[in-house]
Amino acid sequence: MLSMKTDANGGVQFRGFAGNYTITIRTKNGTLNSTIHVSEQASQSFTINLGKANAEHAITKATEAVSKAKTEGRTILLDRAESLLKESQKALSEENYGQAAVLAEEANQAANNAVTWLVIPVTAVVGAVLFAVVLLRKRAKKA
Amino acid sequence: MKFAQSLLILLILAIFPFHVGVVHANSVEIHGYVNDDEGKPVEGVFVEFFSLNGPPWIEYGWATTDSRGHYEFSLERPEWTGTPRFFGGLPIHEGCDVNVGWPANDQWKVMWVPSAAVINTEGMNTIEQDFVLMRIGVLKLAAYSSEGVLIHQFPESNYLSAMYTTDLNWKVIRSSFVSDRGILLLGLNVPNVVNIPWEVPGFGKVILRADNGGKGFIFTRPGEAMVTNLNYELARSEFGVLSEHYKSYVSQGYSFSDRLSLGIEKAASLLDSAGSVLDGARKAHYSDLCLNQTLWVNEDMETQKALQDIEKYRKGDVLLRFIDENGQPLRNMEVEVNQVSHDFLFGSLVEGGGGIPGLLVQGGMNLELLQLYWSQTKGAAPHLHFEMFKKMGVHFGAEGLVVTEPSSTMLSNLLDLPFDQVKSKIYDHVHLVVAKYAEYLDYWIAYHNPHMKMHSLGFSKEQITDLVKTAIGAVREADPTAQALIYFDHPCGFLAAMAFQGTDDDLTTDPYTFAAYLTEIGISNFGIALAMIYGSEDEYNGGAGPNVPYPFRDLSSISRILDWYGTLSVPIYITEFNVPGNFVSPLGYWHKRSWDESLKSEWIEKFYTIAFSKPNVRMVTYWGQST
Repeated sequence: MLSMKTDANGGVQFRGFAGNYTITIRTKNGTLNSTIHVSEQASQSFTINLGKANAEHAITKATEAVSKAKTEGRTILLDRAESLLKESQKALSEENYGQAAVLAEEANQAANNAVTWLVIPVTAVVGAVLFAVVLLRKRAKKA
Repeated sequence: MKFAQSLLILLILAIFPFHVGVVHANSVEIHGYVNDDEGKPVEGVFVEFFSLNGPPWIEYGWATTDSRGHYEFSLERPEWTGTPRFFGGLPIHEGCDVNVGWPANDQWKVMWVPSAAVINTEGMNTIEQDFVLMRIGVLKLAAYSSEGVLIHQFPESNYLSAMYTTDLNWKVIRSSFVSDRGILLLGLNVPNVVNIPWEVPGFGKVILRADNGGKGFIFTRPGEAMVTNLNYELARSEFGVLSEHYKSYVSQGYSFSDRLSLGIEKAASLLDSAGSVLDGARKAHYSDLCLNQTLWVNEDMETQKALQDIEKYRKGDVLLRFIDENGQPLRNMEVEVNQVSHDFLFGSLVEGGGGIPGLLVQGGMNLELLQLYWSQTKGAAPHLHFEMFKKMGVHFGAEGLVVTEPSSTMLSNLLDLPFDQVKSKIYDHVHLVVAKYAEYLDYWIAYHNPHMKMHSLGFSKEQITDLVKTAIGAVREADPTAQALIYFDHPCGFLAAMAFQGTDDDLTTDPYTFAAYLTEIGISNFGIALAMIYGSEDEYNGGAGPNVPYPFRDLSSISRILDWYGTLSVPIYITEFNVPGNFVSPLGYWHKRSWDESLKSEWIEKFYTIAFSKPNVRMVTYWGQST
């Protein structure tokens, strides 16, 4: 593993065997990973836009959260998460990386907050039981 | 009336039963002509007849040619044997082995062809068999053992053919070694290089070359003779190669350690000493010292060059630039770069399957070569583990699609079929197996050793080429992304040199020449799979003949052979390499006869270093992890 610091132009250089490499960048906001392929006898240049990488990372997380919610049947309020995810992808395609990241984060939270339809009957039953308990206690006090 | 005639005929047939056809006599008459390669009759050479199988070889007798080159011989019909001798790719159950060309007057003018022609006598009473012998010159080898003793008789029997000749590269040229006379019979008007397993005290026993000062031994007249001090010729040739390559490498910008140039100077001085003395034994002594120095330096040079070539050919330059969302450079930021896969294929073959142990994957192995021979593809699908290893980044390949060696189970399914049916069967088999595993396998050895007549099923060179093309085509059609490979044993031509069959064998050739021929006639989209096993852990067994021991090679010659194959401009896959676990072979060893773990590690590391440094080499597979 190579550890380097970017120079004044934000660049690092290395010479490596042909194959796939993971590039790990540590920022104040966390760690980001990127993958590149190095070819034999070639000079290759890669530009990694951290804003873009950050947004892509956030979109990936949000997409996974939406999928997880669907798998678990938590579809109440999921519409909002999907809508936010679409907006963040649109922002990414328009190279508005900051906006894309914010929207993706919101989509992620919305997906995590989504609930299943089972919550309605369960809430109703729990509410009814609580109501019955309170009512019975009041009657008992009066008696 | 007609009815009465028919009845009479039937009655006669019933009373006098007889067989329509040839009555097999107890003896077989064999006759024919022996001519030279100009069509002139060869007078006064022996045509000797031996048993089909041996040892021991039973001599049936001999004939000599007359002034017309004619011979005739009568022998008692040989016994039918259930263990056939394969000749020309076909099994022969009844016949004899023929040696032809030994001169009755001991004046060698044509090639002697020992144990290389077989006559099938089954169902025959009279056989006409002609022979065409090459006109030759005679190279007498004055060779001295490491103890300084003149060798009067070289080892014979199985190892007789271990000495072979090539051109200045490794293209095999047919020749013949008469071991008990210490003479080599070499064809005319071509530069012959002698290749011989030779013991160099302090270095090992490896195949060395005598190239007559880089010119090759050239004879122009039949019977022309030359005597050479073999020790000196080997030293002169090997040093010549070292010196020439050193100059060439330096001029190309390679740099070497000081010890290398000092070593070359020392070797040059020893060669001068060898050249200045007249006594044969002393000349040989200095030559052996020169050889020792030369071979060590040569390996050192090729290894140093390989390390520089790895930097040059196997790597790429990368510039990574990091910017923020506004396109501004991100300075002084920590970056970690970690290689997670190699493009180069580090393969492994575990005999009998079983997969790459996880430890090997962790150690960098990224390909498993499977054995999918005829017998393994005709039953239930072998239990494989593709999904698990694919997730770990492991690629898969397989050997064994078309194998026509005598021991192959596929062979019995192809024998006795007409060519079109064989072709069709090969296509169907290859297509079926490749299609079945297309999702997982990327590399297929489509055809094994097609360059030798002994695997030809009795077909011609053009037909074999057609079969190879068919197998490659079937791989490509079943899986357009797969790489089809043609497999060859012994890229230095060692095996081919001892596999000529008959005086009219126009198929057997070294792997390079065969692969070059395929590209010349427009067959493309194939890679070559090379077996580079030395030191004889696994003996070759043709099924019917004696085992042929594997010789050894020094690393510098391996490096140059790979460079030579690189000129074919086809991808090279070394599908068989391993460490000799023991030294069964009397033909060679490297550095020490008995290897400890340290020497095994050194051999592996240096071989991989050299192979990895060659830009056309795409794979090295460690074959048969049994020891």
